[in-house]
Amino acid sequence: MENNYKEVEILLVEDNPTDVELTLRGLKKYHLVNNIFVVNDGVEALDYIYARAKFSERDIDDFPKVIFLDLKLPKIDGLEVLRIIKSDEKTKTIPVVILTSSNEEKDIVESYKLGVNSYIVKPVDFDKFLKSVGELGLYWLLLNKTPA
Amino acid sequence: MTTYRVKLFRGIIIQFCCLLSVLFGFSSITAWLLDIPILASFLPAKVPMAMSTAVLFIIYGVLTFIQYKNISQYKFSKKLISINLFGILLALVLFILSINGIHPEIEHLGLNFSHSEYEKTIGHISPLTALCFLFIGFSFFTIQISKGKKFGTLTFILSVLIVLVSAMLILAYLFGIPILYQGEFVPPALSTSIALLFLGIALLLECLEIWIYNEITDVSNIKITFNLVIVLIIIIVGIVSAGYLYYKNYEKQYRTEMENQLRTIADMKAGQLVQWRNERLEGAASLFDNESFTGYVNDFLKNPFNINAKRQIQIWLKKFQTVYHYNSVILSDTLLIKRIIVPETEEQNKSFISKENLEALKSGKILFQDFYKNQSLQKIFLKLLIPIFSDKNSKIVIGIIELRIDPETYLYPLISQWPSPSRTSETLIVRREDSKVVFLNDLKYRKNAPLALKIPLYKKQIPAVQAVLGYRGIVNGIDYRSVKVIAYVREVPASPWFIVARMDLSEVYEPLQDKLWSTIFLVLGFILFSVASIGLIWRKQQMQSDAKFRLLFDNMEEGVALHKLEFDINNIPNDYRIIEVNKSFEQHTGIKNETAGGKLGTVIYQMNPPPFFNEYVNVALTSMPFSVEVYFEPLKRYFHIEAVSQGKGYFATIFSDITVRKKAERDILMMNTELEQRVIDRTIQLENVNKELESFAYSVAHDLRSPLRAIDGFSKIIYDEYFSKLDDEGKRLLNVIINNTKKMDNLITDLLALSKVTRSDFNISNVNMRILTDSIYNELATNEIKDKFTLIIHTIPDANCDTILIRQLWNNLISNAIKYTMPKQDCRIEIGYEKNKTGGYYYIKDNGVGFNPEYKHKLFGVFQRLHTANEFEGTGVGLAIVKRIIQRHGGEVWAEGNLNEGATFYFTIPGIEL
Repeated sequence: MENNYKEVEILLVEDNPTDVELTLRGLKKYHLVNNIFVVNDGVEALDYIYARAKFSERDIDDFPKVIFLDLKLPKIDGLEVLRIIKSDEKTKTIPVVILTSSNEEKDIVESYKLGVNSYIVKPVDFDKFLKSVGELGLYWLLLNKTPA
Repeated sequence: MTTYRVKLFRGIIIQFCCLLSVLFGFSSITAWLLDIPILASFLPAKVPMAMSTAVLFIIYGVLTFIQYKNISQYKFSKKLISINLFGILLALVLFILSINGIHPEIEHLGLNFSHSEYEKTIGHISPLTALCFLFIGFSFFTIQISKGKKFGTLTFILSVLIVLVSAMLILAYLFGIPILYQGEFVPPALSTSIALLFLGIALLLECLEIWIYNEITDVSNIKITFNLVIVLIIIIVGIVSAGYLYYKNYEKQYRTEMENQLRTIADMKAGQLVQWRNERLEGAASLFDNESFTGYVNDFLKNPFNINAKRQIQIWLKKFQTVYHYNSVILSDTLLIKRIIVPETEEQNKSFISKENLEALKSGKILFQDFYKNQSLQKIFLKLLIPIFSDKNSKIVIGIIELRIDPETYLYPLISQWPSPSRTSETLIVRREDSKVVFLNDLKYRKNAPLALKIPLYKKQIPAVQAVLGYRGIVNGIDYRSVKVIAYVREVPASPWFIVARMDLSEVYEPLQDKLWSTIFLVLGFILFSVASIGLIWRKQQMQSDAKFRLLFDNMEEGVALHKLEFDINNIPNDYRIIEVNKSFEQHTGIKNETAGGKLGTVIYQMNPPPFFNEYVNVALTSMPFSVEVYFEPLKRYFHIEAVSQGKGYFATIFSDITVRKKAERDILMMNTELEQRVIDRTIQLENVNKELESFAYSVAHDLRSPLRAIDGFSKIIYDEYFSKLDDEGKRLLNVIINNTKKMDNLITDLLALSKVTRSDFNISNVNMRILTDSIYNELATNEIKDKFTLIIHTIPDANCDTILIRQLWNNLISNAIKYTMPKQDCRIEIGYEKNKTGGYYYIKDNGVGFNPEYKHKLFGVFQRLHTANEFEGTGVGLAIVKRIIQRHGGEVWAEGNLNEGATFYFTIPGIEL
């Protein structure tokens, strides 16, 4: 799975292992689990996207179909990652969905300014959470068409 | 204020005086134009003001008037200066001509009074008047070119001189006018003197205006000044009257004496003349009655060759001629042929005796033939005619004796003889011939006067005329020379003669003139003395008040400097001069009065323009005070400077040291700044704390929720995936976990909402409360609720508020109302607005479960609940949020209610527009 970057459809950037597990469960429930790659901080996320460091063998042109991005991340936070992705011509077409516990208005506003495609506040209620994650995965992977 | 009044008063007097002198000038010109001398002389028989004098009065009256108007600015146009120069030139020319006795006809400008020929100097300017005008013109000139101060003294002296001269002239007129009796000197007219006095007063006051105008004078004792002026006027009137009475009394005595002298002389002469005539007549009668002489005459005339008779007659006649000083004695026969002439001279041999005389002689009368002119001898004689009868009883005239008297030998010397030494006095003998008076004797001032000088009788002012008209007594008149004289006239009894003993008035008054001048000078001296005394008293009064101010000036804590503006040649201020500074000024600035007094601002302050020049000029010229606070670097002190006007062109500056106050102010300012800085610091600290709180809230939102989600998620995973393995108790416990997770999530959400109220942006806009409440109700209420509830929204005004926060507020209030009314039947919610004194309030009223008013104070507290969680769900944050929102809008919120009687929540939002 690690080396099969070509099939990665969802890049999940999340440091909290329980949230990773719960997210994966949600996606699994919608049969989206095979195509997920998880990184735990902002640096790793950028390394993955730009095929640097430990992801250097990855084909740089093979971008994930959607990035699920948490805001509160170690090293480089989610908004910074979003800014870098959205300010790069090559990567700015990748749909980015912020998946966060923060419903701070300034975070939301800032994210949309940077060009986020969706902003989802993670519900505490597990059922709702499952539903949100699953439906988002479906939408961005199956329904949304991005330019090739 | 009072200074102003005095100034105004002075101004009125100046203008009044100017106008009067102009008026006098015009009046005189009118007099000349219309030939009404009284308009130019004011009193009948006084000298009128000359035309040239009138013109000068108009020029200088107008000039003084205009100058007064401009005096404060020291602005004199070139036009004024050139008019003055013209006036000076005119006065100078007139003065030179007049003093040399030249009176050009052009002075009349073609006009002439119908005045008598004796007043030859009438209509010509007096040299004294011309001199006064020269003074006036010169003083004007000095004022005009010097702008006041420097030549002020000269102007003052000149104007005082003019006032004195005119006052003297007026006094002279008042006391009688002996200076007018001299023929050659042209006296200033009375009207001229009065007008000159007015002009002089105006000029003098203008000098004072320049002089005193700007001095610090306290005129609070204006009443004293006024009283002193009244006293002065009374004293002057008293002195003048006393002088007048004294002089008039003296004059009267003197005149009486002179009149007596004249009368005595006239009476004496008349007596002598009568005696002389009688002697002649008696002599003639003795000849007439002498029978032996008559016999010789008869013999001689019957026989012309009777040598003895002829010799006897010649002896007789010779005797007669020598005894009585006859010019000649002639014996004529009845054919009027001269037969014997003693002394023997060759002359016409026929006598001229009129027919009437001949008839009179035939009746036996001795005739006295008055002065007549002997044409053949071209001499004036008198003669006695004596008829000689042939027989004492027959009354037949056979011859006539003619006794010819030459008046030169005895009569004229007798008449002209004057008993006391006198320059001008003489005695005249006149007789009447028809409507003329004929002068008979030799005159002092007219040659060949006897019988030649005849004056018509209508000239009544001539004493000789008065005499022949039968008046007897003193006559004040004009003699044949057109000179004023005083005369005693009377008839000479038993003769056709009248005698006039006359003397020139000027001579009469000569000794009196000295007395008059000494009286006038004495009076003027007394007046000056009283003016000076009153002035001194006034000055002392002033000094007393001045002394008060001097004391204040010297001892006041504020530094005071008195200044005067300096002007350039264009009358534009270019500097100011320090007049005086007080001790405090010296202490404050270190500039000594000795060094600064009289110096220019540019010199003392080493600045050009000097400090605050424009501001001070403004103060000095407009009287608008000016004040400023300055820091004086060399002294390292702060000063408050106030500049006040002291009259046009003058100002005073008042310095007070405000360093202490300034320091205090600066300290306060520093403290304020420090305080502000502290506030800023604290605010930054608080902001930091707030930020920390924000990040804390963020953490709460983010970090606390993740574990909560984990708890909930994994509990649910257990529930889903291990359901069959759990017993009922296990399932219940798992449900407890899930429920509590949910509660905690609610708590966190509400807490975040609460903190958001204070942290969020605050944007005021107009909000339609009616639409807002309606939409919120519709969002919150399910169909079930809508069926059960009645919502009444009254007409409520719009509010200026933050839309998001107000939405949250109504949301909380309406949801509360729904929540706590649900258990009731017939639910009602009412939303409205009430006006009160201070504005108005919104309210929302329900008929729900209400609350216990005892716990009213707890309603709006965080986590405070009046109901259990079992009764009503809730976190106890909703009303706390409501309160915070209202607080943030600056309003108030409160509630009323009772258990089971519903609750009403009220709130106000400031700035509601109804």
